[in-house]
Amino acid sequence: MKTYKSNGTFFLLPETDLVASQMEEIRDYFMKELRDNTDVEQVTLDAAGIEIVDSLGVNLIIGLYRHVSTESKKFNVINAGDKFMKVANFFRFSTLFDIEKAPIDE
Amino acid sequence: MTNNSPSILVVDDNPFNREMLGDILKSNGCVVDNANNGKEALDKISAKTYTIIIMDMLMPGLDGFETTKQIRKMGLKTPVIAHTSMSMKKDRRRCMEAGCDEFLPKPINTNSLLELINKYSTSDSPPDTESTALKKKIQHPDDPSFSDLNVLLIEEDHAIRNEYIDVLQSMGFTVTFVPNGNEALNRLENNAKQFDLIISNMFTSGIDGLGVLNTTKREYPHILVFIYAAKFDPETLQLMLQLGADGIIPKSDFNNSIGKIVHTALSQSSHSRSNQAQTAFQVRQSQARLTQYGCSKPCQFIDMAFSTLHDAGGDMAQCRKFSQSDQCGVVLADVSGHDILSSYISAVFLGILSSVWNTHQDPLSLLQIINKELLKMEEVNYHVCTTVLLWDQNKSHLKIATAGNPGALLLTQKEDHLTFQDFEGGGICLGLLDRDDLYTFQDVHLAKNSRLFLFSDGMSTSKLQSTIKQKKMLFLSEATSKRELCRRLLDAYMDSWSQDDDMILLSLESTQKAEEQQLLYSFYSDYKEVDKACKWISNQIFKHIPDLDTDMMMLSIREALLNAVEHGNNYDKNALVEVNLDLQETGLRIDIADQGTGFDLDKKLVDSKNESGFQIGKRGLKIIHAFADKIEVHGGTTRLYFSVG
Repeated sequence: MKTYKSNGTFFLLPETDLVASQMEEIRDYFMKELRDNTDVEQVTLDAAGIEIVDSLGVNLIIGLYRHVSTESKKFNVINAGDKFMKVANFFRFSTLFDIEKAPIDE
Repeated sequence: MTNNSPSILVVDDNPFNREMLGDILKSNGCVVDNANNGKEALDKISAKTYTIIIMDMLMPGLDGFETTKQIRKMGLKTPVIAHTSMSMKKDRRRCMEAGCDEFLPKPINTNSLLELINKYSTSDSPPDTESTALKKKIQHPDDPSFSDLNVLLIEEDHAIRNEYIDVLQSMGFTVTFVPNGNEALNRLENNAKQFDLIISNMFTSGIDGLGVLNTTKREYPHILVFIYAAKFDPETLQLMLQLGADGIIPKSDFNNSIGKIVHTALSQSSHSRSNQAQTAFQVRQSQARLTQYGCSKPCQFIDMAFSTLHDAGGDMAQCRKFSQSDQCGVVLADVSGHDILSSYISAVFLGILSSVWNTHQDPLSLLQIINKELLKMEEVNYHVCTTVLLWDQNKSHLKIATAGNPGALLLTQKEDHLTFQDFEGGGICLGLLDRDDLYTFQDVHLAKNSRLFLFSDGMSTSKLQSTIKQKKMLFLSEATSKRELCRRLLDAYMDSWSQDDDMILLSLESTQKAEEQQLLYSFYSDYKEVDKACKWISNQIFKHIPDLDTDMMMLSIREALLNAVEHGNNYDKNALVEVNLDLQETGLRIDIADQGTGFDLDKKLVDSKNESGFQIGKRGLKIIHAFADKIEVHGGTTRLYFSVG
């Protein structure tokens, strides 16, 4: 789990599944990081390493999107794997923010 | 056909047999009525008098043996002709023991049949009840003569005994005497039918007059009992009347009053006995409902059989499935006493059981709550011996608690040997004391090839063990059907040992075989455990169906597991979630059981649909519903179905 800033974008990297057992830790960490890094125009969730997203994970993503939107910043997701995309499609995330699929491994 | 035509009831489940017998009988001047089974026969017999009953002995449900026994218990002497294809000597004996008068083997021999019809139609003793037979014995009501009546006189004192014998004989009684209650009961045990009346001194050594009265009214209700003593205190008088004494005689006036008192009792008896027979019949019908399986589909793992001896009270056995994840409850109970009040207590017990069982599945907790409710009735003379089981068929595991009943008997088969283990029974019966700590409790694992027997106190562990050894092949031979095992064991038990109480026998078979076909996993309510459970489920599915895309299926299952942890068990880390995976070629079924009471699936689905696209839905149902082919909720168990291919 880590974050970094680059060219006005704040990147969030959970590097783990967004599931109930991880949720408290991830949420606390990301929310603290977002509060400490307000000088950005965009927040990007890097989904690399996310295999499973359960209902609490979905809530986290929606929560992040709402938090970022209230600060008039842009939110998007990158490096979304197939499994992540299945959940994203089911919940129609793309109607709320951009999702970029992960490059296919050769 | 005239008014004197014999009326015949043909009882046979086979319509061709009924028709054939009917044709022969009608063409020989008989009036014929038919019954398809034992129950229908009893209904007809209680409404109408027949000259002869022709009884098929092997019928489904209430068979000919049991039906004939019931007819005799009703006090009816209508000749019963056993009509059966069983022609062995022992079959004939069994028919006679059940109360049949004649044996007519199948296929039918018309001449033999007509001979029997002729014999019983022209008999001097037309169909009768015991009561009217007794009535006839009273020749002159104003000047009683009691010829043909057999009296058992219980008196220790030689002089008094001789004096009373003279008095009784002069009135026409045939008198047999014994010195005390113990010998009287021995006589009755050997041949109770021999006696019509007992006249007993209240005070004898050993079993006294009250003891004789109590046992006789319970075991041999056809016998009238009269008690005499020099003096009676009011409490004893009341007790004797409660126990059903037919007459109480002051010793000082024995010679003058005995005739009148016996005569009055006989007259009352003759009027009331037909009503009593009908009541007893109804009570027996009610008793049949006391032994019931709780599931509409027969369970292959439980078997029950019972044999009643008394008209009232009786043993009860009930089972109930609590959830789809195969948790079952079994209760075996026996109310003290054998009278109408015992039957009433049985009904109350079942009412309480029915209302509290789902919420008190744990055996000790169930005993405690029933005891509490029974004590509210304040029927201090009645108590209920009870055994309660919680049976986890998935794990073939039993929790057993007893309150006054015998302990269970565990039978294990190892190759061609049978081994036994008997468990502690006893404890205090329900309805006696306001104490919750006097029951026995055991955890029992019912391993493969083992069977647990439960029984009421009408049977003994050692005798049952001996009967099982005697019927060893029932268990050892693969070819022998295990169907009606308890019935066959109970019959064998009764062949070897006399029946002196109601008996009920239950057998629970190991479910381990089924366990092997299913995959079980359980975990405590923690999110990390949900991850492990998902991994386990995913691995099991992969092992069985490697090419299956399980991504969304697993998402759905994960939501159901989260639902169990969050809502069912309310995050209680000590509460278990049980997973039962059933993998078939056509799909998989998963049961997720929590300790909660469940939820209204339809309502939650409607709520869930009304939410916006990226919301999760009530209890994660939006995801579960989207990817499972079917969802069912039964109490705390959520069952998901996924079809494959």
